[in-house]
Amino acid sequence: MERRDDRERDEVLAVEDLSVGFVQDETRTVLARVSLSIGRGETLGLVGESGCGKSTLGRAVMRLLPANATMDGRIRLLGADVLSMDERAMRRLRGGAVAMIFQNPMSALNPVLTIGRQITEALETHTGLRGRAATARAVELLHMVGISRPADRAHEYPHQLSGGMRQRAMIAMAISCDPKLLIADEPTTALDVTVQAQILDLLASLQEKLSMAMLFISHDMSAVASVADRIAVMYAGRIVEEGAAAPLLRDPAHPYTSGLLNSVPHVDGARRTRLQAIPGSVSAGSADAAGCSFRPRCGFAIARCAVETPPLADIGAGRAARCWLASADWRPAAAARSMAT
Amino acid sequence: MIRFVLRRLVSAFVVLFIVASATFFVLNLTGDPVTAVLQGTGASQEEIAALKSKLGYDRPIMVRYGEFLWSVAHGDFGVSIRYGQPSIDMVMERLPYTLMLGGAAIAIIVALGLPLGILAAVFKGGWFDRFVSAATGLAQSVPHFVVGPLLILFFAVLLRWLPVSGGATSSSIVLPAFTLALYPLALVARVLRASMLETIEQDYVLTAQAKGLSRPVIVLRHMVRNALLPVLTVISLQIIAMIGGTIVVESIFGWPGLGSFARDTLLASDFPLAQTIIIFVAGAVVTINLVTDIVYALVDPRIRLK
Repeated sequence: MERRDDRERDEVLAVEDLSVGFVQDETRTVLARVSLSIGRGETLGLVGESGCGKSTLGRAVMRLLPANATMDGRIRLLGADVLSMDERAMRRLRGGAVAMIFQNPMSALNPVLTIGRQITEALETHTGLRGRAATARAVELLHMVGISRPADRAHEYPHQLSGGMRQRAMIAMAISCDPKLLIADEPTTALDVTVQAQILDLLASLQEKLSMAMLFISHDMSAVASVADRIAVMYAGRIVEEGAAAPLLRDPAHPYTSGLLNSVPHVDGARRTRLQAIPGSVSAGSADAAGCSFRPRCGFAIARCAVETPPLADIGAGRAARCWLASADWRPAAAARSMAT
Repeated sequence: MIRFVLRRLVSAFVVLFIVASATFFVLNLTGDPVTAVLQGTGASQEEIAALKSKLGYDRPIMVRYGEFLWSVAHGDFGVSIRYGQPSIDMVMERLPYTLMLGGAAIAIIVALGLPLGILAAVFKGGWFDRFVSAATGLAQSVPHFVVGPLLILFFAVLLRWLPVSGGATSSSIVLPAFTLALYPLALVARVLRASMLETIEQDYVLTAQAKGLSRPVIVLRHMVRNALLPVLTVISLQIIAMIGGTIVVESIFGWPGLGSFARDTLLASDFPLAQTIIIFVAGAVVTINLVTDIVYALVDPRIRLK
């Protein structure tokens, strides 16, 4: 009991059985009973192909889904119940205790407002800072995220900055009011590879400095691998595998996770080995259909997979996988090897 | 910015030169004005010939063209054939009325068109949106010569709130200005509504929401300025189109401006006066375009005036 209380106090975000559907003619389930939690200062990497519902999850936490979305379940953010909160209280939370950065820093910044203004308006909303004091703080934040000549940059417009600089400005804006949780939705996807690494480094160092928790959403396994403490893999609106980052990456338990890792190119890999793509696309499976949604694309599927949806089951060592085959000693990689011989 | 304005002023003079030349030749090729003005007045051939040579219309066209350019460059726009007065004075007497009317119409367009468009988009699908869409549809389908008399009938004859016509009292401007503004106002409201709805989809609106900003701040600070860009073009084109509209509207309301005067002048073949009016209208169009470019740069920092 004692331990559980401790855990709750340290929990920044707890999502329980969250289901999200979009109503358009008929309801389409985008998230099906998703549960996850993030502790203080922890980074949870949320990976999956485009369309699997990971961005929807990020937005649901801030209650920024389109008007035709239905939400069911519980979201606890710093102990407060997000889904029952009134709009005013929600606005205080957004940009305050929880901030968000987006994939494309060009379109996510307003083209007609200066960088400085876009930071100060967040400060004005959540802190007492106004006028000169707010501007000074904005310049300080720009300096913190590694923007040179921050005082000049504050007066510039987004189009005058490079892609990497824009994402840094975006990050400055997000951390301006000292968030306890940062939701980073594909923050490196639109950037050059070298800039990607810089942004990932920046996020990691800021996280340590500000001791904030982070929900890092990406389709890029290598990006997630470099920042996440724990990883949750999503497929068709469900979490299919979850666990501490290192063992999950080294030894994936779900065939989908294994497939994702096989499709990451390695510089040190043997030449002429083909990258393995997962056959089919995510639309082949849907959260609404019966059985395992990954079954149509899975090389290990058995009869049971077609009729019964597997639960996210504990497979030992703090790990869980949503697969009938997964257990403490079944792994897709080993199974594939034995199938080949 | 200053260099941009200077360069545009130079090109404005080129435009005015071309307009002045084209006007001169087109008018003079349609025949000789003295005959046109005096025909049917009982003047004898000798009298017509005498006036022709007095006004210089018996000389070759290229000579007159050179003289025309020379005097226009010195601010002399010639003497009206019909009134015998310097045409520049006659234009200057009426120009302020038309500027006032146009200014009032622009004020109405901005003061009503922008809020209507913004609110219709904010309350998309609601009763206000449906009202705006019906009202603007109606406003766009009724021409000046129907709106004007209807307004006169209702506000001047029936309610007796406003004068029927003329420019004697300050309230005289209300009905003609509103008549002139109605169509552009409806168009501006519609274009802004559509542009706002497109802006709502933009990522920076989501960013603004994620910052915890309130809805009015998001709409006014983040959306309107971006949504205004296509509307500026529409406003600018509509102001230019309004110059033509003043001809009809000023005639309906007996407004003593340049529009109704232009109609009379052109019908009477009073060449020097007609040339003067056309050059002034061309000057107005050039000025409106220049102002539009400057406003664009003020609203959108991505546009650099070079």
